[in-house]
Amino acid sequence: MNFEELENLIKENLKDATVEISDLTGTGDHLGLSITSNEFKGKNLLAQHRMVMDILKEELKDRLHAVKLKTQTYEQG
Amino acid sequence: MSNPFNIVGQETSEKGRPYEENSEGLGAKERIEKMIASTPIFLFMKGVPDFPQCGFSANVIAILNSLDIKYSSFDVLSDMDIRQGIKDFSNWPTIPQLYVNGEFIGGCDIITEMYQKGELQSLLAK
Repeated sequence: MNFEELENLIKENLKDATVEISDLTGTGDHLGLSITSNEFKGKNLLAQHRMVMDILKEELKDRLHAVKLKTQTYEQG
Repeated sequence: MSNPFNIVGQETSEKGRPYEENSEGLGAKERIEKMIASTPIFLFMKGVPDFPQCGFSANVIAILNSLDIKYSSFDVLSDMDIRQGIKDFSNWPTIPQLYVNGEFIGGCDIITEMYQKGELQSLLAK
């Protein structure tokens, strides 16, 4: 899917997010997503990934086969 | 192209064995509960430990095999009920999914990060 579209979708849900997207396989459906946001603060890794997976839920059914996820807060970044 | 999701670089397994199921008449949820209760470490994956069918599953297998543990696995490609059922069960949209003592731990990225930080090793050593 379109990277810009994806970035906007994430930022609609995590207002302060910085998003880096990379295409891992050259096919546009296996993406690397690195997201920095303070909304992750105080949450464990599974909870942080759940927040992102929730945002991507519809996309993962169809347009995205898989994402490689990295989440952190600005303090960790 | 080498597998970008495999951080260990080892792909075959002696420690993981496919779960042998005997669950006639049970629904997907009951079957899953029975599976994850059957052994401390259980992986839902695509393919089997000796022949993973997806780069993410292969990476988790490689990590598990690098540790001194035994685990069971279930191939979701062999069963559409479980393939969807496990996503509903954990409310998690992707496979692989690792369960330890009946609790969902995470998918490929979480397992990788926990492994790199040494957290997976201490969790599984308990």
